[in-house]
Amino acid sequence: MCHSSYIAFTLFSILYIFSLAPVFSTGDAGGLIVSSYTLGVAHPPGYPFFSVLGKIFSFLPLGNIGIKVALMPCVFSILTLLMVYLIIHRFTKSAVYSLLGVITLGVSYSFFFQTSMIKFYPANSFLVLLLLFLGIKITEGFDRRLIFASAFIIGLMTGLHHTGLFMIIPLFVIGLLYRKEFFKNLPLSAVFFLAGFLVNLHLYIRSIEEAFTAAHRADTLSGFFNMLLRRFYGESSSIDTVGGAFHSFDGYLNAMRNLYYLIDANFGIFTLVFVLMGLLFLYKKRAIFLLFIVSFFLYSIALAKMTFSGSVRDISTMYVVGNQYFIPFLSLYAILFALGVYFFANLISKFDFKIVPKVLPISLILMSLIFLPIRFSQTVQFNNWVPYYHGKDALSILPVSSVISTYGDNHTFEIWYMKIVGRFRDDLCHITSHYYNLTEWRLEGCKPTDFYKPLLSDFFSGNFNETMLKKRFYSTVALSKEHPFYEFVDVKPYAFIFAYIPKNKVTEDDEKFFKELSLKSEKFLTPKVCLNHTTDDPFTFEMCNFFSISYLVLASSIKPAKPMETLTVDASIAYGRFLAPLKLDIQIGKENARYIELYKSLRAYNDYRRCYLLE
Amino acid sequence: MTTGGVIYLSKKAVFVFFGLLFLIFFMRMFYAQYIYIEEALVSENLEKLKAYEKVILFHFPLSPYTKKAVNGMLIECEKFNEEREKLYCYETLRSSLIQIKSFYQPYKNVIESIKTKIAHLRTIEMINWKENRLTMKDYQSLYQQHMKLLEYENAPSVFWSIIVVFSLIGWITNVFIVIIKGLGTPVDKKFLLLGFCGFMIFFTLWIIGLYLA
Repeated sequence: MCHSSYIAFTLFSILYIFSLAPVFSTGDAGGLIVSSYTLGVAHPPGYPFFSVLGKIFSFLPLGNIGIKVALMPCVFSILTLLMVYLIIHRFTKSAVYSLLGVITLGVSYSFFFQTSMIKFYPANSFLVLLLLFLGIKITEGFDRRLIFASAFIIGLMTGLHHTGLFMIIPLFVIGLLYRKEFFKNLPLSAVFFLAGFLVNLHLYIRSIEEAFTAAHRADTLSGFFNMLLRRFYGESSSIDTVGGAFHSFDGYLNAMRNLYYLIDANFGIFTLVFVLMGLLFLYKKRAIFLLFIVSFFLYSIALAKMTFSGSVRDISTMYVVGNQYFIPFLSLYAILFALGVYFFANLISKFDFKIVPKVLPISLILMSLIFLPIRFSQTVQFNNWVPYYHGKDALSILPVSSVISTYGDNHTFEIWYMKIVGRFRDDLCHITSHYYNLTEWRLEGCKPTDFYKPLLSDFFSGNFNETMLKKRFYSTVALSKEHPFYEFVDVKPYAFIFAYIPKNKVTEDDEKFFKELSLKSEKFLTPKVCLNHTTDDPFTFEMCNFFSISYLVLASSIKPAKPMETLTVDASIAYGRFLAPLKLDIQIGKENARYIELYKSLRAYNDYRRCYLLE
Repeated sequence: MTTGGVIYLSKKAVFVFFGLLFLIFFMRMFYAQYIYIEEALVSENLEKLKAYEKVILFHFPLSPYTKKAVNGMLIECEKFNEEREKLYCYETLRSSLIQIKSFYQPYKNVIESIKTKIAHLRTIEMINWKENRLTMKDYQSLYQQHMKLLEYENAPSVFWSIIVVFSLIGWITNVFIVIIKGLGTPVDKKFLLLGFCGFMIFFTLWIIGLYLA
């Protein structure tokens, strides 16, 4: 490596570490930290390898458990960049072109974004590139150790993210070049694959030991395989998802369109020309070309057909799928781009343009570096306290030893973190349902239940009415007609959560009670974090927009002496496809106008139009 | 950097890489503590508390800022008149200290000393909650229940957790030893045996660790 490469890697390390959220980010982060901290089982497929790697980082004597676990994906992002460097260098023997690939990927939006989140995608990308590197080595001459090492790494990847398993196909294709030796060593490769797969025993043993499990236990053979195959997600299970790529050709056009959009957003569409040249460059090296083209196809078009073929580019399509699953694709793309530039520069230098190989990569590096401060300002989570205080504020305003029920990743995972890792307000019993229209609660946030039973005897004996009458049953869920409680329960908005009261039992005193309680609880809320988080993460916006309801509720709790205008809120809160009504009558006057202003500010700052990947 | 068919990174390079990351991570902690302690000095009431909380969350060993924040919070907690605010304050202090746990728990004595205060405040709050219809006669039993919750340790054993993570690294390393050193041409029986025995030992330890953690 040259000096400029060391400087580039140090620069990326600084920016990435300073981009991490102070405690934890949105999405799965809270749940993944809890499963690391407790050596538990995360949401399906359980991610045991992630949990143990996260646990190693949690032993660092610096900072809080959240940011320590967040350091792990960050380290894997830097290692991914290192792999990009090594692979390009293998073909070009040039530090400048290798650096071009590193910087192109390093400043791309999705890669930068994922680095600052607590997710398994950077680790997955690193291992995919490591396998690609081993594949390149295999093309240079058969060495069975490389086949065994690849099989073992793929086995380990079953404990990380299933898209890693795609690498079986290109490696198998390469293996076919050495048919006789390859098939002779295939049985032992299977043994090494199984050795790697053993990492999943974590799921079974920790389930038996009743450690934390985010979705369901894996303590039986069927439970174990249901976990691994993600059957919990129904139509989104691993097998059904893969099947989706083959049962029809519908959606390929959308998949291609979405990929085109993703490429443009991350690299600019002009790079596609160089990527094609990169493939042309590799075409002469037939075996390597085969390895790249199969990997590239699987991680781009095939994966896009399975997961990224929606016709609408909304938050779910762009931020849950596009921005996450395609990190290996973007890594491969950056490698091919740098190789294409190298190919083009060398080609043109043959026509007496000798300066081009020197000037072109440096110009492209400088051009990419322009995006560095932009990416940093877009995705930086340095000051994003939203997930932390969103969870903490919800718990802070509750009466001692009450019940809080949640639905959906954002509310569930952040409260799990606060209660299980942070032990904040561990007098509260947190229950959660994975389905909006079911009340099959999981009690991970209310354990050991024997300790909670004496404090919540009504609730544990099934007398929910009594718990509600004592005003100790709260939820982040407003009720729509499809909710099982709809017929029996009235909801009273209380800050940004809801108090559940038995149907037709809400008296005028209760109305007054919750209005006063909301006003008394205002001081525990932390609106500031929703006005200075600086990130364009749509799930942060989602939390802040949900939180902004607090200020409508507070405004409706005050009856001004001289009302200036009346505001009728007749809105719906979306819980997936379910819409729960929210109705409030607000008389606005001097006494409560500041709440309305604050509400407007929160909504304006957390406008989804600020999300880079949304059109 | 690449040799003999596998990626070769010198011990020095690995050491420098992780050393550098650790240093940058430390810089982040130091910088964050500095800005939040400054914020705490100019804030009031719950805002001051939240700034102190942030300082603690970026703790590093021997940090004077953490000490200042913990002491500051203990003083602030006593200043609150309302029991609800006092409870919030002590809960925040306890939670932020628990979150900086690594292989050891910093400020364990502070966590121990405020447990009784938290249990007392939770009990009083429960009694004050009109709808509970509780009286001071219930104080002792409620207090005991809250103490039970506060004393319960939900994290896996540190010792067995360390065994789990290092034995996992151990058995993975030994599989690579078997592959790279043992299964070359010709087969090196010494490394094969060494790797296999290492694998068995670390794998057994890993399984035991998962059961006992």
